[in-house]
Amino acid sequence: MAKPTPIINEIRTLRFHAGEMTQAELARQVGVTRQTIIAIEQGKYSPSLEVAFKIARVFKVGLDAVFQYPED
Amino acid sequence: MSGFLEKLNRAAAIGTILALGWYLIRVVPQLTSGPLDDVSWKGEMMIAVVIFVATLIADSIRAAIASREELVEADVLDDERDDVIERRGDAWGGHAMHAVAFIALILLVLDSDPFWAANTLFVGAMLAGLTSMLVKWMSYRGGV
Repeated sequence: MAKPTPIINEIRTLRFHAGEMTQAELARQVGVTRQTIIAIEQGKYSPSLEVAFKIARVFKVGLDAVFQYPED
Repeated sequence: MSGFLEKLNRAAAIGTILALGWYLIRVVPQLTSGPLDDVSWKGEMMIAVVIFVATLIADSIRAAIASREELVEADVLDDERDDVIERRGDAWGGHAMHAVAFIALILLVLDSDPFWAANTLFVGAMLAGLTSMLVKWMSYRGGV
């Protein structure tokens, strides 16, 4: 059925550099469930632009530091 | 670990399978053993609905207890991924239900026995519901 998203992300690394921020804490700050953060990290869900910006804002980085869309 | 809505979806699927299974086990053997007029199905249909509702309530309570920490911590129950998965599952279930309703309509137009129209609607609605739940389950597990 659904293919994993081709969008890759650096959320795990960014959480590590943010003092091992937990998925639950990130979820709370972004305003989604922890399952959604897990799915985004695993590439099983492409978030909306709004959530993508919120994640970048939590880590105080640009959007392209969190998400990349590699060429084929 | 699955979330609360995923557990709820699973609860509905279990309730549907139990209710539909019980109904089919009770009614289908009668079809092969005598005339249609002798088939007892209305009471069985009501009991199947009761089984579905009772199972759904019991499993929902169990899901809520299992997810109580998530429900307490997350003041976010309107999660965007849940919404996407919900819409996708409902769309598939809706398409299936449209097909079921169309078949039932044809049966009524052809003046077939009410048994067939009623059972097409009942069994078809259960299967449409299962289709929706299966799509949601696959989306939760496989990705959106």
